[in-house]
Amino acid sequence: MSEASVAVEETVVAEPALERLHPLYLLTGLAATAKGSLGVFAASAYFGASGNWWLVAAMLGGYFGLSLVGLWVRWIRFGFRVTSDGIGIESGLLTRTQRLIPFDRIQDVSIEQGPLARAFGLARVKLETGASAGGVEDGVLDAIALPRANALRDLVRANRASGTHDVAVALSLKEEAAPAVFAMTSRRVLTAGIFNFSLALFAVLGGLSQTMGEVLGIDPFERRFWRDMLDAGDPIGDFIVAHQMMAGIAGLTALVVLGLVTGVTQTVLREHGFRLDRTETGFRRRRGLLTLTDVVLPLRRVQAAIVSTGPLRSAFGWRSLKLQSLARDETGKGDHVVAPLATGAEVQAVIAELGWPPVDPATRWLSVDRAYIWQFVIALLPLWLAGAALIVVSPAMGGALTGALGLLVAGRYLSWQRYGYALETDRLLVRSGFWRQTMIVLPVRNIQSVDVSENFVGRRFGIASLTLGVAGGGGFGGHGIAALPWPTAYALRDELLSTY
Amino acid sequence: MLPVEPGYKNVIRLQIAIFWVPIAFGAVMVDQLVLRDTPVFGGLSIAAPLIAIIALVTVPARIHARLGYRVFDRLLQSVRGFLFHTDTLVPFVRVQHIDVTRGPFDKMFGTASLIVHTAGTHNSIVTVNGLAPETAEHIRDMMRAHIRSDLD
Repeated sequence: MSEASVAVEETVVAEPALERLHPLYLLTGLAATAKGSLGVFAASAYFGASGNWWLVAAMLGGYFGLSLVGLWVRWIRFGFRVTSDGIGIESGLLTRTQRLIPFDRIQDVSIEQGPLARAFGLARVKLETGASAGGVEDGVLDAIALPRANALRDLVRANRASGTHDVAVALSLKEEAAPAVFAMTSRRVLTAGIFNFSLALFAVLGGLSQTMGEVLGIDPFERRFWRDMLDAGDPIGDFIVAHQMMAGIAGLTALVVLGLVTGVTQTVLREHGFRLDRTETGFRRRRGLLTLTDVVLPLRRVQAAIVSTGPLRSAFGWRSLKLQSLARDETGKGDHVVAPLATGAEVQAVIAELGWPPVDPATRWLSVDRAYIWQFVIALLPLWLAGAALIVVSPAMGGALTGALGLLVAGRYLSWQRYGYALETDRLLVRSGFWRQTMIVLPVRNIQSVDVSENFVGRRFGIASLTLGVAGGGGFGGHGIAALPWPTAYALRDELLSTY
Repeated sequence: MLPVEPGYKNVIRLQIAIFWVPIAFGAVMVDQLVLRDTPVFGGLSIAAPLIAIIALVTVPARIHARLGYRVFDRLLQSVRGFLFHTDTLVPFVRVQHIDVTRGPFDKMFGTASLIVHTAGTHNSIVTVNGLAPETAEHIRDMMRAHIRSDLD
């Protein structure tokens, strides 16, 4: 005992000095604060427009002054130190908080660089432990020099891997030399952007231009819009103006282009330079155009793999691969995207890097009960009735509603056709969906609990559904299999838990 | 399947009472104060307490009858519900931590709840209500021993 306490005292004496954030935190922090206070700028723009310049000056001056003072106080009271067993963070003006994050408990280290931070060579380091249930990271070091950020990450990784620091150096060297597990060329990112076509935006704009366009004067389906947009004498302009139908086509094209541009912009901003590397303990993902992110995903944290695609994307052979991990992704969605747009072979390659056997394309999928469709039809019952009632009042509206319901049921039928599961030796595969096709690869040892549930409708069909508790992920719906015949559901559950 | 303690029926009854008695009271008040001059006056004053009483008399036994649990060598099973029936299995080694809780109603009627936390996002909390306190503690100790031996 006495020896141990001596050793402890020695480490206390040898404790490294408190490190501070980079002073430029005042600037990068200001940009971040400004992002959250659009109201102030909107108000000052309003006052500016109405000529109250002194008020604008006072408002902006006061705002930036106060923010700077706040940031300065935070900067001066914030410090961190790397100790032998973890990273200590001290913060707070009135309430001093001293937090120690042991290396062992750090699940994820991510490095993020906003545009401003990149200009200054700074980075934000996020240390995530499993306890971050609320989605709030436990340790954020806001602005530190990039080399120091990388060193910290390597230090954490090395300490977790084996406790020696030499590994980190060897590891990062090896990593640079080895080819990426998966990388995206600019062309691939563009393709991904095109598939990311913003259908929602398309629908919203289409609806808006039909309802509000008249008032705002931006209805691209009207000739007037194009007359104002294009100079008279322009042959295309004249052609569009001359024909109402052409105006409709041009309007549609404009919406499609807008949807495409939105999708491509979003995707390029996020996925530019996507690169996934294999490290000693897991994957490392780098991506982003303006905000670079660098995330390490330890393999032993991976709970399940999710391959998803859509009818159009699958026609071109594209898929995306996400990994469900104990730690959350920076988007807060829970699943880490490790291949946004990849071919089947590339997905298999990433899965192979996980150390998992490949998914056999000739897998024999067991289908679920047809009641999967009927249950859906019954759940829509109130809407069917509403549709029938509407037909009496307004045949067009009622017909549209009934038609839409019919489409939903047709979609449900198609997704039933695709719905299937397969239990392999130590993992469960479930594929489902027609519009959003997913396939889940779930190692059986990652199942935390199994629910068999049935409700009063399904009971008439003799079916129950299986819900599997799996750690991590951000979704409300756990993984599961819907509409299994009652005995099958119980038998499958017993089989899934047969190792216990 | 093992049934839970009969005393738990009273716990359920009190929980229902907490929900229904204020509603019934409110309905009677509305009826007496607002609906006095309307043709439907009197209906709510009879219907609301009647529904509350029927619920208090019949529902607890029904809910109780659908509750069940079973402890296997390495698994815990918890069953509940009729309209929405759920049957949950949790392997002991998947349990992160275990609570045995007793609310004021539980203390009045000699029951306890066993609450098992797993790492799953879905179903992270699995509960077995209405156990005798000794049973709940016994199951907890069993699980604890199991988790410890798994860690060694």
